[in-house]
Amino acid sequence: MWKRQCHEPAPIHLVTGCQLKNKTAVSTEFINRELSWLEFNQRVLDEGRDPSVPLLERLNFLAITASNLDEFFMVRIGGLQTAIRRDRTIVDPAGMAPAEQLTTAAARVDSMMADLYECFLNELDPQLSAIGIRRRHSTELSEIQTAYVERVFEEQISSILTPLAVYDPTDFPLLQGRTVNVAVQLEPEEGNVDFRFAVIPFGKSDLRFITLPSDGGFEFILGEDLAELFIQRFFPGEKVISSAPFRITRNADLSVREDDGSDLLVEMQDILDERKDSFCVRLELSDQVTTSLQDFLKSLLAIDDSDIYVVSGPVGFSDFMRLADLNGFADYRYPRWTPRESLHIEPETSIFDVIRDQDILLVHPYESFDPVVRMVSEAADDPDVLAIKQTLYRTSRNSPIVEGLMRAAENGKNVTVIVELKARFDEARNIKWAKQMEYAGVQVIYGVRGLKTHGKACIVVRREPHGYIRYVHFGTGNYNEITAGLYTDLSYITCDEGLGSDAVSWFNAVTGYSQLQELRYLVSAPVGLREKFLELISLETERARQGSKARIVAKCNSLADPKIIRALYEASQAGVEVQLNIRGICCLRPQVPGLSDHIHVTSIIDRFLEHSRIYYFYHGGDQLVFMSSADLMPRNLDKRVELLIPVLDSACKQRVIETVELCLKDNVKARRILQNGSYDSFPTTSQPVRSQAESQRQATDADEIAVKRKQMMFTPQEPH
Amino acid sequence: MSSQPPLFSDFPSDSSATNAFPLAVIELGTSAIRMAIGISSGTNSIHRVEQLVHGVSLGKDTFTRGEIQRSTQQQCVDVLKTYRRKLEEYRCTNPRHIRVVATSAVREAQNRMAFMDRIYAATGFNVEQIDDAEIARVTYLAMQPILQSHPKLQNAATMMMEVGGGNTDILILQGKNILHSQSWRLGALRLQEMLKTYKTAQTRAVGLMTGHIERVLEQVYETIPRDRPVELMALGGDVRFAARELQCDLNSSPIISLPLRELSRLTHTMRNLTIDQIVLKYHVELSQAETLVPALMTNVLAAQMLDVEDVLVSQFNLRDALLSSLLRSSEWTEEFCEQVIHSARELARRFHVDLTHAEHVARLSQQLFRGLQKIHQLDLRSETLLFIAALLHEVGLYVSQNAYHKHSYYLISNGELFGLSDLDQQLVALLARYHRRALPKPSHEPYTRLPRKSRMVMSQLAGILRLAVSLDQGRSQRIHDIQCQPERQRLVIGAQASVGDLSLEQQALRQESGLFRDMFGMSVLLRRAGQ
Repeated sequence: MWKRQCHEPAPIHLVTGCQLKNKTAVSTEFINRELSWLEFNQRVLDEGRDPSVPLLERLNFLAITASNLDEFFMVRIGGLQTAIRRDRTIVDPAGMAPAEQLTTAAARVDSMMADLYECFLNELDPQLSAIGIRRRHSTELSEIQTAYVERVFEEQISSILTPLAVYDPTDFPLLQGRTVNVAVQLEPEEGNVDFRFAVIPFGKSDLRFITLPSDGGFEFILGEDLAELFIQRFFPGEKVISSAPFRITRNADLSVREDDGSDLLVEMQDILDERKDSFCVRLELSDQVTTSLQDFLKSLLAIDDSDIYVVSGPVGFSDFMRLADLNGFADYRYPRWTPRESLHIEPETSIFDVIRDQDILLVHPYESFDPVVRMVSEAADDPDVLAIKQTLYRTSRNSPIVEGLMRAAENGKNVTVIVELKARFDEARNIKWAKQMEYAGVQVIYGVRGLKTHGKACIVVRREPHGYIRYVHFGTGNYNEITAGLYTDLSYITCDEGLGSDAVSWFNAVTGYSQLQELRYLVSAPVGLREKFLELISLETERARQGSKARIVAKCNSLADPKIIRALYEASQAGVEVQLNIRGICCLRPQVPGLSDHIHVTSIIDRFLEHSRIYYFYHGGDQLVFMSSADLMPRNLDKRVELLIPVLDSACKQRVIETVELCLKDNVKARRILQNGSYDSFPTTSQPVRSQAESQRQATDADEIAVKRKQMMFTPQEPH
Repeated sequence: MSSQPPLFSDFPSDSSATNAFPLAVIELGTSAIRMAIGISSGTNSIHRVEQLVHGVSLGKDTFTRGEIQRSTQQQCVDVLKTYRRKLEEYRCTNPRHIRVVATSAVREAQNRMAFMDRIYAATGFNVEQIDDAEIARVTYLAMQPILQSHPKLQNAATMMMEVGGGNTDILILQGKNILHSQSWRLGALRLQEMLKTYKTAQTRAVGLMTGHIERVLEQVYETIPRDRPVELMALGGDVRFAARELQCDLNSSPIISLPLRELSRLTHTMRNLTIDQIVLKYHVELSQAETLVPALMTNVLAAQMLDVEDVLVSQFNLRDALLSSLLRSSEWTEEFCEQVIHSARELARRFHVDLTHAEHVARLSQQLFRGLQKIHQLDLRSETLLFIAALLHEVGLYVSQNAYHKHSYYLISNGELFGLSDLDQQLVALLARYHRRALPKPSHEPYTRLPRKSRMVMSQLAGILRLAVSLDQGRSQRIHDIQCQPERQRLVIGAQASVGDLSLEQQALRQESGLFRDMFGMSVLLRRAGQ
């Protein structure tokens, strides 16, 4: 079905959940982060394999699994390979050297890919056909379809795609990473014995899924199948011996050289260029490949056997996300979710009036991101607004926030935006925004030298009768209204003076207006965030030692910082109840006797991507609640400018506590993380709780209450 | 700021009726350029909204090389340009609402004029050199409500101390009254630079610094009253840092107590660290790390000298004080004038002035001044300067009977008087100088150095002082009350005299009223009241 072409021990066929047993006994203290991440990706894949999930969502989860793996190879495997190339044998906290990590990760990827293609080919593809989404192989085309594809080939494909003959490695064409190519083996020229080879790169062309005429449903042929069908026509007068689709993944673990006084914008563009021809970390090959074709690619790409993955289905499975997005077929998806308006926000009232009355806490995507967009948009047109300051890490394509910021600048407001050019894989888009905004008169700052600005805050300074009021939005997610509908995140909007003052100081520091001064409420990485966490943890530990109740709850995407993990172990040993809800990497080993008896870790993978970061400390009953942009990873604590925000308002605080408690209760989509880093479902005996569905229900209920309330009261339309 | 008003109390619904406007103070200090932006709600209070800090090495340059290096100048220009942008964000562009001051590092730089011109040309900021007296004055004014609110300080003698990079400002208070105010050339950066100049090894540095600090503190100790409990009130960023390090919440109350034991333990720990280690361990800027140890040592030694258990620390800083001073139309409030006079009296006492006579002359001067108010139209500040001059006019007798008015001039010029700027002090000294004998002449250099307006005011006040002195010619205070009646060409003084005729005084007046006549265009007639 699918095999791995390497001379290592045959990949173990793995049963989900047990893979890691005995494999990472290197450290009893930590789990290796790459392996922990792979377990996370397996959980994503499990969603795709779960028959109770709607069909197209399953397809999407499979594509996400593949897409995640793409990034994993680009960054993590790329990083490990770089370490080996540079002969750096840095052992990770779990005690594994790079080579060992690579070998173990490769084996784990093997079984994951096996599961993925098995699921697709044996389950999803037939089911998709049954509902009318049919992939046609070149041998299965009807007469009409054959005539049609021939026309498509002649009119479009032959003119778009250009075969590149390859004579020797030095003139091997520059192939883009993560795009499909077809490798072709041609018969030797007359009087010559050597085979000749060519490559047909698809590049960024939109030829992956070609729609076919059909009697109903959606029939398609993959671009590479079509190209192979007419492969001979690319090479008139020559004989094609064999062909096979392939795809490469390049190393993207390149860092910007910020030490010299160079222009970051130029540097970033250089990085993007460099990424185009950085070394190849993975070669995916269709299993129809012949040995000579494979050898040819192997030598030309200078890649080891261990980095070649031969797959039984289409290469580049992440592209299938587009198929999952196909219009129609609503029955095979989760019911569409429209975020609800917050109960506390009247659409007719100025957002600033609302905030002045009370702090607002929004739980996305159950509640709409609109108030945040409105805050920027209203500010842009409000004559009393003097300034807007905002961080942008990733944003959407036609972001209304960016539009609002530009309009504000055009309206004469003082607009300062920190655009993080170093946001991985969003660099190109961010460079574009940065230029557009500068053109509109926004003062754009490209983050902080040597650090990524990851903290999310937006400050609006408004002149009001008795002073200048600062309205601040703090988020756990990006200023991206699209992902705000897909990721679970928190927004906290307040005009609290202390938080506003801290936010401005923080912003002044990040934009270089001032040195970082002492903050009263906020805590910022890389100065003191880890220390703050350690302090909060040790306070709970101390309380537990004195026999008082102590509890720590954390919800984040990753937990990998050794110092924090050790502090949590210590807390557990003192008797602190530690409940962690961690979506992705978790290097902590829970429930190890004597080490972490009181630590419980769960992880939720459901239709919305869990993304909010919430930290809770019982603190003798005071209940300190924080939200943050930061995960508990060394990179967040050392290499990024992050924010930890205390939720001060009691109603908002309660809301955050309820949100995180609900996640902890989940036993449907949540998995328990086990000692060895693998995971396990909850027994089906208990009352099922699916936190995301429950949150949707709550939001809907609140929305209905709001509607009813409105129906009871009529507001006359008065002439202006 | 002493009391930050609640910001969100009862907004009027009409948002266009806004009275709030921004004010800003920029301070070019020894190790940093700082800016505070405040919003005035149109009343007397200011709400500080932003504080910016940028480390610069002004003090290092001045205290080692004597002048500000070109690269530092450029750095200052760059920082001030960004501050300008920040001010534009608040639409704070009115020069009357922006005050840019420079302290000792700039004041003592040989190239200060060129430096300030460069700043003006590049940024449009007009840098003012602020002198020790003004620092003491604004500090006192801003601190006063805090001091009064603290029961411990009501009756104690308080030593208020701020260790800066260049100088240490010390104010000795008794209750709310100022006894003594002086700026000592003992600064954290100066100490550091001194060590560098002597190439002192780290091991010996502490001993050397201790010796140096103690020598200065010994002199300070002389000025502290011993008849009551003593408190040490420490100001400045370095003690505030210590307070935070020792987990004291500065926001919890206007004044907090820092146990000396803990402060001294912290100082001891830090003493053994290199600057780099301090930066890493305490997350402070390099510029602050350099001054922390000497500054904290000075505070600890002062506390030990005073034998106190706690050091009082306040959130207060100079920029807040300057911000609130921007709002005041005049700092010369009656309360403040009283403090200035109080400090003058202390000086008079130290030089054994015949205070009965001096106070009497001062009172008479005041009555004359007020009686002539419509004519000269001078303010409370001038009145206070006249009053002080009257108190101190005979201070020169301490040196010699001969030409004592010249000795008075010298002593006042160099004495420590709280609350007076250099110019004010010069005015007082000249008033004493001209209370007898020669009239101001173009050949008198200190007189010609005065700005024209001050010259005129000085001459008017000296004219009045001469009248007052004449009115107590007998040194018997028998003319204890007067009424002034300005008539067209003459001033009629009606005197309430206890006994005898007024011919002695009339004689004196005839001799001494020349200056008055020149300045006011009026002759003077003294007669018994009711005649």
